[in-house]
Amino acid sequence: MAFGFWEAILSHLIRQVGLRTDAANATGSLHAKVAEELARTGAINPTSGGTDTLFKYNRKIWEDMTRWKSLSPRLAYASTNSTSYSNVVNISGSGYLIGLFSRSHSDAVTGIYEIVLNGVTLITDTTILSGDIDTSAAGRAQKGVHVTVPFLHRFNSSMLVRHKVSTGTIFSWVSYVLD
Amino acid sequence: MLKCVGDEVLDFKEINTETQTALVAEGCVCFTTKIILTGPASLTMDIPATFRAEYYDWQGGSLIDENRPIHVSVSGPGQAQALVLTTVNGQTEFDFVSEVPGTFVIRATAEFPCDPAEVEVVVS
Repeated sequence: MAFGFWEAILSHLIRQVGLRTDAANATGSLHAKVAEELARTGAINPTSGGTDTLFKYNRKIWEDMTRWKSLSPRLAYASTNSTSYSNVVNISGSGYLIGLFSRSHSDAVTGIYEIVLNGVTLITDTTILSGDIDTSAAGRAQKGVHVTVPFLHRFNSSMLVRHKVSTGTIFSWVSYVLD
Repeated sequence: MLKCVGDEVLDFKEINTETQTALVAEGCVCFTTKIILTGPASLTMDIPATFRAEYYDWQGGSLIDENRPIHVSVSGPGQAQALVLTTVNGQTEFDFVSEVPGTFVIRATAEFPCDPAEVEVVVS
């Protein structure tokens, strides 16, 4: 009876705790599960980012954050007095649309915009800038209207910003970053 | 690299970043179609002169098949004037005469995306 009892205990321990040589297995013995966990955690301080181990994933996030912080903001500029759309910026690539700045010093102006990201129209025929300048002497002294529109819109394949007017002349700047 | 996109001519540049080569065109070089307006730069009062407005492509080639109307407006001393002209073989003509001296701006525009033309005429 005693031999059978200890044999049962030992058998139970071997089955549950396992041996140090057990292969990694998420549903195996304790040794197998620990080996599986170590494999998933991966080597400390990996030389490159990835998604197959926890440390590589951490490094990938760190690399992405580092690259984001080092991205150079870019500014595209165009002006128009046309009632037909013309290009402010047209990109085949990926990045972020950061913002739009529009100004005019025409006596009367309507600045109309179209933004298409990844082939999907975000806005079109949208009046962003509109104004009638105060033509008095005091008004002319501070002639000009301007609007800033912040964005933080992701584009994965393309970005297109176009502008036109119904009256007047507008000057447009688009701030963006490329990956 | 110049490339026609719809009605526009865009100047695309390759921008190399750490992860991609993006093609970026900032601003618009011109529309693919333009109007050329020709006529005298100076006139004598009460004597008419003929002006010609013609469609061209952005590289300077005649567009004899482009016959959409051309709008002409005149601003200067007195009331502004405007008229719509039909075109034949991509061109049209009109006469301008002024009974008063001054500097006038004649502007020709299309009804579609097209670079307009403008000339300044001094009448004395």
